[in-house]
Amino acid sequence: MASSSSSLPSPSSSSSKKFILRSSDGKHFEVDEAVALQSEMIKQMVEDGFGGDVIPLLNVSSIVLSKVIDYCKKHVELDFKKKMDGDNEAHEEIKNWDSEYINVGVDELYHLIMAANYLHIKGLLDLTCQKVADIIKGKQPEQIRKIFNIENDFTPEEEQEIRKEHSWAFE
Amino acid sequence: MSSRSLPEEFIFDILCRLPVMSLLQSKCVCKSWFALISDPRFVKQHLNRVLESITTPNDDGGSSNFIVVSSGTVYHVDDGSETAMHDGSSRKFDLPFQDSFRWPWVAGSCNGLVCLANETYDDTLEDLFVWNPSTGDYIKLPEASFELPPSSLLMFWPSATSPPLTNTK
Repeated sequence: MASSSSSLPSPSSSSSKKFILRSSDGKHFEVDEAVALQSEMIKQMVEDGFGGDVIPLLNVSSIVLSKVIDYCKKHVELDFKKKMDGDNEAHEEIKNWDSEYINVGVDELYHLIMAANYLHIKGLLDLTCQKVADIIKGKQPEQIRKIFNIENDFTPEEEQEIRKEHSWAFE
Repeated sequence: MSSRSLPEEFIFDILCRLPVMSLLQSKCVCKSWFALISDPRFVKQHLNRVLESITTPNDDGGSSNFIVVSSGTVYHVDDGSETAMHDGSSRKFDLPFQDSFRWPWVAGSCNGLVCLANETYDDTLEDLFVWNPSTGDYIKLPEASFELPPSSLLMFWPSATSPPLTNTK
């Protein structure tokens, strides 16, 4: 899934500069500048004159970071394609790729939300939050509690009262 | 399954993406979700989102809901297709204030709220209700100071400072 951008001329032709990202568990990932700058947080660091070659990402483990980098790489590639081939085709490809990419378990989803938030990658945060919403959609309260490990702090009477009030939603 | 709950700070954003029916069900999940979904700030944000998705349609835009009044009965129709009324995809609404109505008339609608009036025997309108079909909430409006002629349409002015309908008086 983490296809390289070699099939295209060079999505990051504006610069061949590389960044090294270090995960919380000390693993190093070398990425193109364009890929790293998908993260507003890293972009800000660079603009603020952060000089080091290695960017430490204290809150993101290597497993999650590698998945996040997949996302950034693909979106740099697709953004480039969008400029070349026009909006419609690329839009469809982004949509399909995203839906495949985000087809993960709840635990992984949780880590991706946290990473997208920390790294400030709006597209990824949007995608992950929408995925959680899609999981909730159409589920009964007890299923939702089970999936997301939420404690039911209503008394049976209180819960009954809310159900009664919105009975049509529970039909 | 998961060993942790959803990160608190994202729940607002996540729930905002749900259709009303899922939101009503989600009110039962726990007290904090109930409080959030009932919060006027959340309601407003949710409405804005829905309005945005209507005005900028995309492939996965939300479904549209319609209210149809036919032969004195109020129906809910999931989409605007002409066949919806006949193929079973419409559903009869039991109005919470049905008993006081002889013949409901849709006198206006705005932001998902519907103003229903009761058509009397001499065709004038009385008993104005502002009703939220999604939640079932409703309020009865004070008596108008003038007689509402038959087939009146009332316009809402959404305004932060004045309650709906005050501008029509």
